[in-house]
Amino acid sequence: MYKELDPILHAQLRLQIVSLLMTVEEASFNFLLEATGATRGNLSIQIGKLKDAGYIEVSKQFKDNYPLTTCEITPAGRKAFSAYVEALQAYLKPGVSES
Amino acid sequence: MEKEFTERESLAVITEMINKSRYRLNESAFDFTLWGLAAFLAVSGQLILLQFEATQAYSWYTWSIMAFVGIASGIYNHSKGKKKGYSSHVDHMMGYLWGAFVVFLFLILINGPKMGWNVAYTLIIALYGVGTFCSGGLLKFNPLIWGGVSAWILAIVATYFSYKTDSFEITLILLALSIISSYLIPAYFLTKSKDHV
Repeated sequence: MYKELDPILHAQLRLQIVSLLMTVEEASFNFLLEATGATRGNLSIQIGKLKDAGYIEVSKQFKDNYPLTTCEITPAGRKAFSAYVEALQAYLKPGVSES
Repeated sequence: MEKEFTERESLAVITEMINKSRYRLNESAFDFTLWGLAAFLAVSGQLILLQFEATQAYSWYTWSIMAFVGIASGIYNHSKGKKKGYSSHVDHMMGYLWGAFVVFLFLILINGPKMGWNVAYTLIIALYGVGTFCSGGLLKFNPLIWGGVSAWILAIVATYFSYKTDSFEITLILLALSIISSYLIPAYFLTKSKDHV
């Protein structure tokens, strides 16, 4: 049987955020905004959900007198992403039709 | 707010996002070109000033250009990092590598008067090789790896001359050649590269 896809990650914007954070050390809120094409409000909500799930860490600081929010993936987030990709591969094996 | 999407679409999202934040090889080209050109100008200048009796004693002053380059490079990389909005794993590893490079270079320079500049410059050629060879490995970029190997070969040649008297100019020429082969040529190929790592 197929593994159930993690509902936290199986949402477009949250998956975009986590995929980006998997390849970098940390990313600023503005970078995530630009890369995902999301609205500021929606991005904040989804970052909050990922933070609550323990998948990312969010830090707020001041740099050159401007507020700077940065996000970083946690070990739990990495593990969840790997499991998600593994489950996804099972769905996409040749001969298996799209759900 | 949450858009429903298929497994195939989610795979496309992952691929697209990973590609957006991959390290572009030509990002490194500026630093290699800047430092390579500055070091080449400094060593060429020193070689020229050594030819005249009046300027011989001050010939090493040409290396002060590196301080200005350090400031320019710092400003450029700071603004690039701010604009980019993220720091990659490659940025992090390169930071450690070139940090170690600077520490080792500093140690060679403070020991230079005691060990003799012939030996010191030979070690600097080898150190250039370490920097570019390891960068090439991190970036999976062969011209940098071969540039590093070429610097080590030139360092072996320089070792032959380093304990001979009146061979300082030869060491300087070998240093200039190592800058061309390990910095400037790979930097040219980096500029042209459209690959990611």
